[in-house]
Amino acid sequence: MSTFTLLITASVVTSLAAILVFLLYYLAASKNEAAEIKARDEGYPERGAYIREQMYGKPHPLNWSIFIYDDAKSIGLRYIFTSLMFLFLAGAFGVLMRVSLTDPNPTIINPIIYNIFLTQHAVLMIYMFAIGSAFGSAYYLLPSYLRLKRDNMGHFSSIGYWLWFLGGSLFLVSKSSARWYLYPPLSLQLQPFGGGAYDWLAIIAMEMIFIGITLTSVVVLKIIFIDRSDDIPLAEMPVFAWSVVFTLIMLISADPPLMIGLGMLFYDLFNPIFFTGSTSNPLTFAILFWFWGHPIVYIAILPFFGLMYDIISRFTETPVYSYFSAVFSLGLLMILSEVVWGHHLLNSGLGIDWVLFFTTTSFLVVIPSALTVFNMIGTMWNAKKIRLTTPMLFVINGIFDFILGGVSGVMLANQSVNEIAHGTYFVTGHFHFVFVGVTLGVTVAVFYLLFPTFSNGRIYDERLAKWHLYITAVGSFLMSMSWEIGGFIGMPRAVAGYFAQFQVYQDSAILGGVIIGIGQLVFLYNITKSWSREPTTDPLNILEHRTETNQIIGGGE
Amino acid sequence: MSAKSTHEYLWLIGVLLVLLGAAVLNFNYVLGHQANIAQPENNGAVPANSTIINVTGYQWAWSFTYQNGTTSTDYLYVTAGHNYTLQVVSKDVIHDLLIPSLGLQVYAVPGHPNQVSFEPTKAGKYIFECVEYCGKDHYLMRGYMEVSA
Amino acid sequence: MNSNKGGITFAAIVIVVIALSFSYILTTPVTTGVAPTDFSHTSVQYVDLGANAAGWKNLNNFENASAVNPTLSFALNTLVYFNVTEEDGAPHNLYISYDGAYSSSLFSKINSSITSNPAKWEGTTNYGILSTSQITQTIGHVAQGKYPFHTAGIYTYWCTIHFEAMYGIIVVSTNSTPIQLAIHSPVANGGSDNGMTAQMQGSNSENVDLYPNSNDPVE
Repeated sequence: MSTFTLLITASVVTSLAAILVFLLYYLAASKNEAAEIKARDEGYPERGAYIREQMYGKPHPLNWSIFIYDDAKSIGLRYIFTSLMFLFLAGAFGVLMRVSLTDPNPTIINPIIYNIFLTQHAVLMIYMFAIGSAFGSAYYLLPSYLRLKRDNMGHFSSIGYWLWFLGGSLFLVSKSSARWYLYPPLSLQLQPFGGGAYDWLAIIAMEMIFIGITLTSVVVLKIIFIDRSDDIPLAEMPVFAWSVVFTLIMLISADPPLMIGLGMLFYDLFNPIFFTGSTSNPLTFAILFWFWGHPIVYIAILPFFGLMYDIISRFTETPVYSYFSAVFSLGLLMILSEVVWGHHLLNSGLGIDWVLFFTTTSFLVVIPSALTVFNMIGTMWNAKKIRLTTPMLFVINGIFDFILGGVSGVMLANQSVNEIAHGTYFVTGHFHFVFVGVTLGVTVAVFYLLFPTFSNGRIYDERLAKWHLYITAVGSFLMSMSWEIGGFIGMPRAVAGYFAQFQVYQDSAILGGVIIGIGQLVFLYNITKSWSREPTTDPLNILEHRTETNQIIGGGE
Repeated sequence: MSAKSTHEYLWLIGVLLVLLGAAVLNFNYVLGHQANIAQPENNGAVPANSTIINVTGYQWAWSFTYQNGTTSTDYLYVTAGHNYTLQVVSKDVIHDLLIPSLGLQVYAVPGHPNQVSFEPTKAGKYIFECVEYCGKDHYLMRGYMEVSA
Repeated sequence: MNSNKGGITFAAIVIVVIALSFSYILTTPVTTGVAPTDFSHTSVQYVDLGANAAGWKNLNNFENASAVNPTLSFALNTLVYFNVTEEDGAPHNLYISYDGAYSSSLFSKINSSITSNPAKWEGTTNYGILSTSQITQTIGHVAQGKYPFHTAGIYTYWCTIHFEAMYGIIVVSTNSTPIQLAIHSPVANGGSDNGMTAQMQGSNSENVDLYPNSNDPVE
């Protein structure tokens, strides 16, 4: 394709896309305007409340209008389903990466392509799936939890959503292979072909994601602090609302360093002065990155802890064991996340003081984590009966996996272990325990709980859902445990090939990864199958429709 | 209520004990093995009786220059019972040298030379590898350390 | 809107997105340049090389069998089989890149600067004859790759992993007989029953001792 044809094609595609975007915008604006007028005529405070009442107050199926209306629930549904789509996509990348490691040398896919999948799996899972799912749950559940009296910043939410979504899509298009760290000398190497050719686009896409999630965070914080009903004091908010507050404060306070860092990185592409110049040090970017990079992994679990508390107290019909310590430990996690980030750079030669400080603070994270686990177990302990249906089993599996992942995390905080295990599959196993157990597990638990509402009164197939749980739990344990054992004897991560002596750990991890993949196929099949049946129940769910009458969340005793 | 408090205190004490134990062990390790932890080359003195080996990481191999001027690529030759100090730099991007059997890990950063000391005790052939993703053939940036008796 | 289609719609979107993403990423070009289109040839030659991080060992039965990084010379339209023996257990591959039409000035330019600045001639338009998975890291394993030289000129061959030590030059002449390169020692016809001519370039490896005596601590 010549440059001329390329330019013509690009202009035509861009123009068509612009027309489409304008049409969508026109549609959305006019529909929202009509809703605004109707809301005023019928005495609603503003259009968000009116749309919610019309669409979700009475049985109303999920449909395309969630992309048109901009009330909190529509935005929440957008986030939930988009993040699920990216879960399947990035999960497929992960399974392909696993399968390509059957042989010590790359066979199925070229290392260049392996590295693209490596980067995309990480970025899409963290930024699109974990953050998207957290925002989705917050937008969807908080209006019911907090009985909003006002919902009037939908435009901002919508802009935030589209920036986030476009950013993720552009990151996929960029085919970046710089890994989610984007460490400078590597991400600035412009390769003539293959992965990494469009790293500049990856940087722009990352900035778009950041702007999107920052905008959204501000709106959600405003919803919680200003728009919640007057009869719900802060001290009686559900734990989930508190966890969202802490998450978003963490997000807003930690992402500016990397946003600035990415801007400087982009400048370095043309004029290397910040990170790759003669007097600069690439570790500067690493420090800016991890100032955000550590909070992000807490951002990916904190909201799900809040949801775990809520689900546990629903399914045991018991108040949270200690509401104060639940909120307190989540807040402590928020604060500690910003003083432990240096443990990602313990071996990079930043001095003994650095090592001493960050290993010691890393141990402190044990306190809030242990409090959280104790609180969840205590809630279940006090319960007279526990309903062990799929969502609850996912939560219990999440607690189990979090303990396993947490213990390996404490091990990693020891400098003596860190020197062996940093950069090996031990770390990968550590965070896959937590992410698969907590982030993925709680997301699908919430999805199952909300399924009757999404699907207008259909019930998911309990047998298939149980299979989904068992397959995922077994696969996750097998995969992460093989990684932890293999990593401890020095199996490096992020590699397209490996020493033949690690074959057995890789093979069992491949088995585990493929098993997880099969589990998610069962999930997808369950959604399809259950949604195709006739409605059999009310489109209500246990999370939203009991808070208003039954104050079992919060409030302590 | 009292049973609840007992459980809480037991849990708290248990967690704090584990935490304190781990933190003290780690503190001792860090302060007692400063030379074995990666640190900037201009920061730490080379231990006495230590032989300096210059290590250069580049995409995608490790090259070792010994004091007699000889060089080897992807093979590191050392003698058991002798102390060595690796002075590590990178030619292009950030690398990370890991010798799992020694528990030795040090980043190779362009423009930021690091050093780390170690003393092999047992003769044999061990693996080492780059554990910081460094581009297309990152997985091939690995080799063997031969410890002679 | 027919509400019982929600799950199927979602699954369809997921599958379409996965399929599109996979086809987009998996079609990423990973080689460019001198990939051969067909393997037609007028003659066949065999080259035996030992893959060693110290440099390509010349394993053909030549005058100086221990020399590394031999300069090879072939006639046009020769299909060359590279038999590569793994020698040190480290990962190796064999790549080839094209540097231009033959002229003695270009040859001497490459020949003199490849030792001091090997990376300069590695080139981005390279073609992988043998990958690391074909040259397994099993010591003694022999892998065979082939390349048809349909364009006359000067090529360089590499292990892209150890490009600082493992490189060499290939000269393909325009006529049916290989160019005799005057700056090199004469061809040893002795044990070479396949008619191959290969010359030694062994000057660049003498000052580098890649295997220090392991009994002698390097201090």
